[in-house]
Amino acid sequence: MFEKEPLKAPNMFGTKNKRTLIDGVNKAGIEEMLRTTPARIAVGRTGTRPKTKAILQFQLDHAAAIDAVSGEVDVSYLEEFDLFSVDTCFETKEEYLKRPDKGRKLTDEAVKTIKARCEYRPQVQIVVSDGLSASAIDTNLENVLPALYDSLKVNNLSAGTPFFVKGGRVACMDHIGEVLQPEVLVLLIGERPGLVSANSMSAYICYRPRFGVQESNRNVISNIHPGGTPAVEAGAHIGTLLKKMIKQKTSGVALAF
Amino acid sequence: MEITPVTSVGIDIGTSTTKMIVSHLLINSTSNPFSIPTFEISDRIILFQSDIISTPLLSKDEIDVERIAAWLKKQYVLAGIRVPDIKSGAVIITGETANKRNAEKMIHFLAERAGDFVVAIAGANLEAVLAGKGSGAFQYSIDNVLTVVNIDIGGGTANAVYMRQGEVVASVTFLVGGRLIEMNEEGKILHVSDAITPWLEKNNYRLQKGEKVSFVLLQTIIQHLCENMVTILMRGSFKKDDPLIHSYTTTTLPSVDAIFISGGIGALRFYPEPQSISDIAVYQDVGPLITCELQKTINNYQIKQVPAEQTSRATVIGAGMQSTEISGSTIYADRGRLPIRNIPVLTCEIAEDTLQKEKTLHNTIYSVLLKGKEMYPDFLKAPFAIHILGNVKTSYLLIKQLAITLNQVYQALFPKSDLMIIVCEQDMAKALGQAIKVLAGGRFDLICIDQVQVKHGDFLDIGEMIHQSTVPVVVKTLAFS
Repeated sequence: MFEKEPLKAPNMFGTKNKRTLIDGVNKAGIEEMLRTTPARIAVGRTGTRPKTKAILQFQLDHAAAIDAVSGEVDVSYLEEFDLFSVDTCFETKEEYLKRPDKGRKLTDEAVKTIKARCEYRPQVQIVVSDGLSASAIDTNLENVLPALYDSLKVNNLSAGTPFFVKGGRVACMDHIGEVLQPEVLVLLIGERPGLVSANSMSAYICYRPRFGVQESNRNVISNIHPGGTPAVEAGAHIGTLLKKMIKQKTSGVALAF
Repeated sequence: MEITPVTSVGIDIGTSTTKMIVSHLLINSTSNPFSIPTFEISDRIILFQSDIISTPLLSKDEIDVERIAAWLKKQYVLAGIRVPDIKSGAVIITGETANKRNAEKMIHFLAERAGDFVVAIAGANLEAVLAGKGSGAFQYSIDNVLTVVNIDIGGGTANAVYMRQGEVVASVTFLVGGRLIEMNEEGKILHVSDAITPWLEKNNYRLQKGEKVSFVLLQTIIQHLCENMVTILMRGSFKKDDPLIHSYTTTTLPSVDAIFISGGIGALRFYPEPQSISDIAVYQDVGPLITCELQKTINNYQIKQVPAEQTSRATVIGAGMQSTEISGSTIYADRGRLPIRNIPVLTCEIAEDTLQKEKTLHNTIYSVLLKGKEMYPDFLKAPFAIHILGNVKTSYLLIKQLAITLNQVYQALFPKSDLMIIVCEQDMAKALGQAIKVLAGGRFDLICIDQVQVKHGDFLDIGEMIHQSTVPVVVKTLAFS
């Protein structure tokens, strides 16, 4: 059966889960379950197949995920936050997807730029990267970053010169760490998009990131998006985490809470 | 991560009986390692249950405080706990006992002696909610995604609470209870409570102290009483001046999927049907008859009845184990300001569009805080908690705007205050707290917590930080108005 209602942009967790309910025994119960999950439940069926609307919604969400990967962050948006932009060795988006190692290394040009423009050996180095979702940055940066700056002030921490890395992978932290020698580094990076959230961001945080750092030495706050961890609270929490790392001189699984 | 057990007590002083429990609340991280740690009360374990004793009275309208205090002391010894170990809990005074002459004095006296963080509570609504949580009705409504009603009937009142999928939607208290009419084995009336007299008169029933009552008359009265109450509960509406109604939160009640009966009346569920006055009078009151007639009435309505997990002890278990909740885990609190008790709540309602208009936001906050200043002129330090209510999109822009306004207005109205307390509905306390702190510097200390359900006029107790990220909170509705 074809339904004429216009399709909407991808649904965020809990906001506008308006799906046609099948005649259930406990309609209120199903509605409550829909409120607690963004998963595709109670979508109904026609014969053995999903309804047209459910299939179209699925395709739309899939397309949004692809857009998030292939999209780019607007330079003027970055300028609002005083972020200049440098590249990793990713070359193109296609190459970036095939060769994760290239996204972990800055270009020689980028190394030169950050050496020239950034404070050397800062206490806290903040880096922003599009990673696998440019829309994650568009959606969350304006809420994460100022809350993070407040948390640095309240915790008496000082930050170096923040910048943006285009085509970054998580471990580009290590290369940046080698070049700038920060005590701690915060990388705000777009997450691999899913069918529920195409604009989810993670904050990876590491004490003295250098080449050879194990993944278990990093802390992460994931799922920062309007339906997940609120961006303002994630930003506000990072300062507390940084303070702990600096005090305990470690990060990752070794960090005690 | 270490699990911290919080020792909690519950003490229920009811119309006919008094009891206490000691329990452990386990506060544990429930989040995965890839997110901000969040904490929950992961388990509640009963360590000790006292016997159920008759509430000691000095006279019909005075509670014997000394005997209760001595009894309580003995229970602590039996439970193997010391007063300083107790970190949470509640003393609740229920039913008709709350009307006793020395009720207010006594409950505060007991709360102080029961432990550092034990709160005094009273009020039919809260009592209903705690009983609904203690009886298992609350959890049942969550697990089965249903709307249920729990009726807790003791000696003096019947507290009904409606819970929809773990949310309290309504409560209503009836003047129905076992001790409202007392008589001996021969049917001689020993006492008729003033509470039930208007209803008896309205329905032309004459019960005189000292006179004898027949089994048939008593049965007719109780049947009528139960019929009246169940009809209201099932029909979903009632008149405000109905003599059977003690208090209520709303006059329109939702329809329900299941019913629970707790309290002393619930405990008598398997008592054989009384055939004579002496059968009824085992406790010298009409309790057994209410149980029996209530059951018949409910059966007539053909509604699903679920056996309560706890009956006589539902309220005390609710008070001991369910009165404490946990705030969100991203909050802000300056060192050395917690715990803090009895903070009145002032609600500041923020509409989505107020935020774009700086002037409107300023006016909203100013008028609420000014009202607060007038209401609590004696408070100097932390006059009240500012409750930020409003389902708005949490953006940094909003946080900043709120922080600027709150800081400005607070300093203007309370220049001498060295503490500001904020309770937010939404998950934004840490960001808001830090934004205010950046603006205010060291001018005042700040406690800013979130994800706690409060309303205007409530009182708050906030405990010390747990795992440096969350605080236990007890929300009290006004104990005695």
